[in-house]
Amino acid sequence: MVLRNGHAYLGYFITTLKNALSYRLGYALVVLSKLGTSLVMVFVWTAIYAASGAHEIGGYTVVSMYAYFFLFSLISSMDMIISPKIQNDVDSGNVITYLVKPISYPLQLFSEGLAELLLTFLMFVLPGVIIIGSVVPLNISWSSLALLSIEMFVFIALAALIDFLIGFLAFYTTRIWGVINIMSFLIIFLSGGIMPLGLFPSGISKALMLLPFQMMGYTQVETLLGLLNVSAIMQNIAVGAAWTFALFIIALAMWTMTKKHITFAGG
Amino acid sequence: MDDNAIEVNGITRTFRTYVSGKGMLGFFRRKYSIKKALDNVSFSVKKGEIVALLGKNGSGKSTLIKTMIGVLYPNSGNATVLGLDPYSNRKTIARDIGVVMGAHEQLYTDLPALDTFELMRYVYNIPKHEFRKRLNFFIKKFDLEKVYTQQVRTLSFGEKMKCNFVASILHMPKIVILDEPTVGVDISSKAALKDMIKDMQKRYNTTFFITTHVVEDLDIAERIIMLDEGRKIFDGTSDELLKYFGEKRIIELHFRNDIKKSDYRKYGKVVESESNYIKLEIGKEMLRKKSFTAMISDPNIIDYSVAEEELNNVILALYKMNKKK
Repeated sequence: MVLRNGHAYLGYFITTLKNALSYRLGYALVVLSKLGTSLVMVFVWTAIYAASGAHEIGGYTVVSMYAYFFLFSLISSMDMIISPKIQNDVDSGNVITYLVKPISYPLQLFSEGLAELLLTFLMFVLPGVIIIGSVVPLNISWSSLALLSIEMFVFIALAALIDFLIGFLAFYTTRIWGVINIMSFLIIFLSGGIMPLGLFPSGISKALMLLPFQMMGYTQVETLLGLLNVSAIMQNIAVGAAWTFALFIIALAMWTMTKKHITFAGG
Repeated sequence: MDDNAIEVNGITRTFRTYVSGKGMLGFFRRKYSIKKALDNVSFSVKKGEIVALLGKNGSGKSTLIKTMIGVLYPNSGNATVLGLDPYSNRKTIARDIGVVMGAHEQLYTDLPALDTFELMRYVYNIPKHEFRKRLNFFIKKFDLEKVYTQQVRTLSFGEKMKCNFVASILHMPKIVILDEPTVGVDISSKAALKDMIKDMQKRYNTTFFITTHVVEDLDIAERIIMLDEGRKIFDGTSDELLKYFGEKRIIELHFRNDIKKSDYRKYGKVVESESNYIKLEIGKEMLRKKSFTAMISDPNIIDYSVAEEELNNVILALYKMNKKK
């Protein structure tokens, strides 16, 4: 698909970078606050290891478990914040200012999201991975980086599509905080943010590997820690790609339908 | 057909709104009601025409704009903008229109307005040298030299409004739609805005469609369309609007000595009176009657004036008439 009016989206990308950088400290703090969940998980798993007296649980030592959760925080911070933006735009009626321009509203949001991701990657993820890599040996090679790049591409697409689908609901119900919170919890849980997916009972673990969420943190962290072999990684990528394609079709159909349903409260 | 910039044919648009139930349990007994925001509205706007869409709050003005440019889909009826169906060609049409929504800002509040102008250069693919030329012209015209490089959140409402306007016309659109453009704008900025509208119309044959509930904004319009409760209740010039009400005149008489109010009732309706002053509303034909000219030559009168009915009153009367229907 050829991207028409690509310069418009480049404009939104650049302006979002400028906007985020106008409050550098505030932005850095928002990004850093994403470490909060991993700190909680570190305390929880420290208690679990201490209570069980085991040095290793499901192949994870206590140090590799710490590394898992810090890496998970870094990777999962690369998701776009789209649905709250859609809700704000719909609620305030400001969505009209985008719809009167020769641009696609979803692509405009995606361009803004990519700009924020670039900043998150440079300010948070890259330094974070380097720091963790200096403490815990990571599986960094050209082949693993190539696989990781594909995994990140699929992750970004999947996370954006899921967030778009939630965000589109705002055009029907306006307030979607409840759905956003439920989905945030489900995504953290199903993508391995509370427990590595391999530690679930075998049947459940296999089922979870067939869902898109395994590509939203778990597979990337396992790749970095060298805990998954190439064939398992390829299988996970294939599942993620299939989900990406399916969700893209659903999101496209939903946006086409939503456009006809748009209403504006006053003014 | 090709002379028309906008054509609207029988557009009806309804919305479903919540209605709270009464009493303590009202919150749980939520009901819906259907509000007809637009009711079979038709009109056309010629290329290069300046049309004002006048209506009270909630009369359907903004809904009409959004439906007309393809952002909202109508329940029935259709529209064309520059000969194209706006619902299937929204993005194509958007290149040729500029929209300023008074209530909604497109400026990035944490950045200077210049950054939003730069963004518009990307969005509309304006060549860099052309962009510079246009920007310098608009900045000077709207007296924004000291303002456009400051963070938007530090600007006054009027300054933001002017920056919004500039951001919407930098691509030199064929049609400019202004939704309540003068709200919060000072007198000199209003004059600059009106001057710019006239200038763009003259130089580039730009079509302007201006929604307002402020009667003073109508002086620039060549045509007025009035909406009330989603229905078009008038479409014509301001002169035609005055004629619509039988051309009434307001007479003010100042007397040397005290008068009896009842002596003047035969000429028309007494609007206001004091011991030596009276204001009458009379029919235009009364001015030609002998009895009236005789009364005006009364030596007791030290001054008098004849004025046309104020547009404000005519509009209010039109709303009242529509309500009775």
